[in-house]
Amino acid sequence: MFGVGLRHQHFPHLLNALDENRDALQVNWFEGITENFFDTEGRPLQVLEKVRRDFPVGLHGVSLSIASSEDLNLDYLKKVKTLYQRIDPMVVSDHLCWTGHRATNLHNLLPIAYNQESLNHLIPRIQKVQEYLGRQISLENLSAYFDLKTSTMTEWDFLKVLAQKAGCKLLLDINNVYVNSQNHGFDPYAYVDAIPNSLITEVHLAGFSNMGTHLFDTHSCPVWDPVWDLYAHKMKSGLKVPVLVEWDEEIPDYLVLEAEMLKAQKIFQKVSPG
Amino acid sequence: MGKLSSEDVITVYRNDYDARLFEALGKNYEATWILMGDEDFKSFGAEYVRLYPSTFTNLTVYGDKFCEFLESKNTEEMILEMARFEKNFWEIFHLAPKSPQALTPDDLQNKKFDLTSGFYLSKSCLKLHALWLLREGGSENLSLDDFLEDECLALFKGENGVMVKRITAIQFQVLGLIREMNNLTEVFSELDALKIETTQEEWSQIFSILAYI
Repeated sequence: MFGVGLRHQHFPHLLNALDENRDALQVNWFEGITENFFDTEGRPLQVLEKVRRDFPVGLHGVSLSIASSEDLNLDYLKKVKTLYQRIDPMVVSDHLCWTGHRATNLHNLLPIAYNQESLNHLIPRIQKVQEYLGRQISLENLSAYFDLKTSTMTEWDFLKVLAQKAGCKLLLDINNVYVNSQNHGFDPYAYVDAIPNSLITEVHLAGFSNMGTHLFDTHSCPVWDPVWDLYAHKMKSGLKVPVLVEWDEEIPDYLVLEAEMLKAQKIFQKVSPG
Repeated sequence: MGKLSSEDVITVYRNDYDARLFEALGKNYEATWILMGDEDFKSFGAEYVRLYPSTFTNLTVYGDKFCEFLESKNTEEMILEMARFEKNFWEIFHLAPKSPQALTPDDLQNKKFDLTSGFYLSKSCLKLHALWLLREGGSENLSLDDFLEDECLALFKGENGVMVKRITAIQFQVLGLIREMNNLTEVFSELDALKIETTQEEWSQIFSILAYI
């Protein structure tokens, strides 16, 4: 299944297509940002519900802050659960990170040390979240611009052990793997090869910006060729999960985004062992 | 490509945080930005971001104290009016759609009309709504003189989005009294006491608004 991120800039195009010519939409599914539908009973939620009537929908969170050292935010989880009940999403996910301190939300995805202490901290938290939500969640590997000296494991080994022990799944963001590989100096192919396909529920693709000193995960442009190559390599291994193209800044016309999605589909059809 | 220094890393995250919050503020106050001009909006916006760290999981609601912040800076009244208009517009935008309800004679006597939330009255020396509708086109070739005209507006939630109704100064006053007093019987008495005369047409439009409350 191949989908695109649901963004308000495309609402007019999507609503028109849903009303006039549903078959003109070539995507198989959409993914919304969970938090964008928390504080609204208005148009954003109406559009999400309308899209949901015709398509499977995924919900992707950015503020779970699963790795925070503070207590889980039950008010936040309650909103998430209510939305899940309302939308019945096909896949649900957030990021393996922390996003703030006390009441302050940094609106960024901050990395943790990849070591046993973090595993001990995260495993029961993930299990509590899944128990509360009544479903399995997937956690996404993030792009980060620093790593911690207290890490004793590679990011990919950490993700694998975490998912296996916590009973969660992984959302593999191929762009983030590539960005981190360039910023932190590791082999991105070793990373994606190390993650068992059975743990992956979804793949994300997006574009990064080259800042000269580092790659920045901006989601502001088409997917770059080295990321397509890495994606092709992983899909060649027989991975068959929903694939999503994200575009969050300098958002183009819907058809440009859909063309990226079609490219992902074409590559999959070419390399997948069937 | 190599590892960033600790200082560089902090700069990357700090700049990203500031940019995200400023962008959210700019999206919620697009027309205010046009009226203020780039220099002032960027300067005040940066100060607001420093003073009000985000406590939201959803940045679409960031900037809830921006009107009060601008007031504290002695901002020009017409800019404040636009900021209040935009703040209230987006608050109403996120409410559930509302269908009009028929008002019965009993309603006119007994019903409490709560206009304290989900409803906004605006009075300005500018044609705020017309100006706001042009916000996405930017400020180039925009002459403020074309928008200088007294205007009263009522904002509320309709079936298909935010309803922005242009109302007369008298209707503004009447709706203000209804907001204050809740029921029409008291409002009628007050209008008599204040010797405010209203037309049938003005009441007809007021009732068409109250049907959504």
